[in-house]
Amino acid sequence: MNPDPAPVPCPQCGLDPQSSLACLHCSRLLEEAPGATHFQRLGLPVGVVPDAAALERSYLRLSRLLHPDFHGASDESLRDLALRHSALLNEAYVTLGDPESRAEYLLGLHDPQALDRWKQLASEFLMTAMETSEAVEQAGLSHDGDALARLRREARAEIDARLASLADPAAWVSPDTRRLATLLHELRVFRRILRDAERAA
Amino acid sequence: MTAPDDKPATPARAAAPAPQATPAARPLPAAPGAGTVIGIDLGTTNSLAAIVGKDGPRVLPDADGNPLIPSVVSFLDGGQTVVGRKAREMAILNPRRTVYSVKRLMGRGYEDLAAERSMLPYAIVPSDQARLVLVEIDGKRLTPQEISALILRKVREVAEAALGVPVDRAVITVPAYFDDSQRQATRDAAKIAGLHALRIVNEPTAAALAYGLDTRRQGTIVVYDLGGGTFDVSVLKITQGVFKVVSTNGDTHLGGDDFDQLIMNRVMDLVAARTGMDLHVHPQALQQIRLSAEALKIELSEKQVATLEIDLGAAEPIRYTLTRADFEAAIAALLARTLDCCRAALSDARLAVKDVDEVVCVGGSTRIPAVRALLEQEFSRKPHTELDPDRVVALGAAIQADVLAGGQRDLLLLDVIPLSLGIETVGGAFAKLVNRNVTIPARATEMFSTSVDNQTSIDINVFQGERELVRDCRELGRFKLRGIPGMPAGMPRVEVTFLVDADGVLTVSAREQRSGQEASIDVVPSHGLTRDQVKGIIRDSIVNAQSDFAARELVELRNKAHNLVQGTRRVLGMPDMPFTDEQRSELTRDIAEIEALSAAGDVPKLKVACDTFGERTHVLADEVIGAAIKSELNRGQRTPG
Repeated sequence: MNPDPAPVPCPQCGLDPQSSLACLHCSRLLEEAPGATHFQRLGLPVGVVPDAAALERSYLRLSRLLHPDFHGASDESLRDLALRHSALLNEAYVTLGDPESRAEYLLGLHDPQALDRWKQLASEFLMTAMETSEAVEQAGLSHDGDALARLRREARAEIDARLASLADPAAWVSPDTRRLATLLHELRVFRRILRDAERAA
Repeated sequence: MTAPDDKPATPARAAAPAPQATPAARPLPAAPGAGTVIGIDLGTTNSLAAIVGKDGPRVLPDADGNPLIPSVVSFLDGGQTVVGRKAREMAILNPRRTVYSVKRLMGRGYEDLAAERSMLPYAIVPSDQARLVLVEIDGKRLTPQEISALILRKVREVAEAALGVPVDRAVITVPAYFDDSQRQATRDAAKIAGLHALRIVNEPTAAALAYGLDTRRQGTIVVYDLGGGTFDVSVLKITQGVFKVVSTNGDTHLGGDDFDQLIMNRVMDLVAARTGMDLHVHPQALQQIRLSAEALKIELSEKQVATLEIDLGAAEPIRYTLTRADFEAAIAALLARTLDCCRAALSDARLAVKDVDEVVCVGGSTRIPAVRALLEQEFSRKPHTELDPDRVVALGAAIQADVLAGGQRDLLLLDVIPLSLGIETVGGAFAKLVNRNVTIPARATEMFSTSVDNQTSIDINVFQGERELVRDCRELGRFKLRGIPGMPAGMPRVEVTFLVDADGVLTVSAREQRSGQEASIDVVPSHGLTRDQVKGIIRDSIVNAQSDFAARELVELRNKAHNLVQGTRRVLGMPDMPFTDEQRSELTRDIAEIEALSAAGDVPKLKVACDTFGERTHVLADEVIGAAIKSELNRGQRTPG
């Protein structure tokens, strides 16, 4: 993966547009080159810990250029582009705004098949997870609120630990895609357990 | 839900920049008639229009000064219709041919309306083809879209008369919790009414705009919108002109109508006990009781006890007395449902009650003291009720209309899709593609393939809802992808793009990746009209269009005549006007003639009369002004400095 490809100058003003969706200098909407990333859309460097304030700022700035509300009087092709770009911008914002989806997206940029390839989790992990699931079910059936609360706490701790590992920039320098994919899969397992524990309560 | 409009969707073009007319920020030269975009609140009970003028947003009143147009259509002998207050007055005399609360039928199927069917005095029947519900009047079947179009036309007429200019573009509001079919039905109604719906805006969001604009509020606000037929709650974050909806929830079948129904049921039980009459088979009586029940409900917002009286032709009228406490107890369960929605919306927004800075009341039903008390208790703060709850949505729609017309650029509205969108997968499971409360426009792509060799089409069934199985969700439509190149099973890679636009309406486009071929899509909306059907309705309504056009022309002419007459009378009444007696009597005669023609509604003659009269008074005005200046000068000479 080429982390931060050189920007293509804006065809209208010639400056670095700072987003693949629109030029922040002259407001022109741009046609995206194939393979544009969410990071390019928001004009952010590829990374696992984006600056939340910069993300928000960039999102709102681009929304004001792209939102269909500001293109009511534009011609049809431009209206259509504004609609598609707004949808892409929203997708980029949501994906990069959440640590889990951001890590998943970033992993996909390094290796699109990683999650499929490293689906098989270690049997010890699966055994423990199954025992925890059964404990949740039991606690739910016996209306054991204390046990459910403890199980929820534990699940959250497991989730937070994996999110922390995924958010470590060092993990993404020549990344071990197998380890990262495994962390994401394990994260999903604990999310499911947490959801079940919340429902049982 | 639609497929791309009559043409293949424009594919994302490759690297080279496409020709582009203008940079985003530059507004295009205005088209003829552009500039005037009104906001319309198309309500269950009342509809109204508003516009942003020099002094901010204002509602547009009719000739009597009343902006609220009852959303009621009454069909007369000879196929004529009346809309609004007159139609509402006819509800008792003409119950089977008077349609109210049609908003509840929009985008719904016959099977969805089991509860409504027994309480509506007019007939609703299932459609032969789609699972569409139709209103039957004297054997003639009309879609809810057509009836809504009649209401929209009336709103438009009132707006045009108030503004003195033609209007063909509008922002129309819908409940935030309206699904794709209901939104699409609203868009179709506008199309049938000859209005271009520039945007469909959610009612609570519009209300937030109306509240947030003048005060530049910051923070988190909850909009509680309890109208005649629907309940919505939206949570918004407002910062520096950005109105971002975080979550929304609601119930499209909960509103003031239901409170009326509770009272009606009690009255009907009373009547049955007293007289043995079953009023379900007496539409006139039913209608009378409905209106009285509504009046009783409204009275109870002011008083502790109220009584309704109904004359059913029996020996003595039926009297029913209700206390506010009893009424509140009766509606408590329904109100509790609204609080459940509020809590769900907050939970989706990952917020707690303490994070809420403001609560805003919208909709006529928030006049009920119990509703306000409930909100105050739940949120530990007094809800905002400064703006008229019947008008605030239209005012907000006008603000959004102003943004779309290019008048406002510092305001940005980011709304969400209320219900998740997805497709049916193996075993009837529901696979979500676009999650609820995601900011719109939103998109999702999904790869499809074939299961047998040389298969050239794929069926995709689209649903909306939150449940695990499609049978518990709402079916939006069936898509058939055609034109897939013949290949061994599993080889084609058809990328289907689901795009939800800023109105919350879905468009689907598809492309086979290996061949690059555009797959064409046939859409069969499950609870709506196909594009051909909408076109058919518009074509057929050209029959009415002649009379519609004449009616509009007459309205405009009458306004013109009225202004001319008023102006001339004013001048005639002024002292020291240099008219000859002959001129005076001529003008008086002309005025009488114009008034007679206006009353008779004779369009061609009135037109001629107005034109000649206008010309004559123009000449006269020059003379009068000349004389006035002269006399002014004379006076100036008489009394210097």
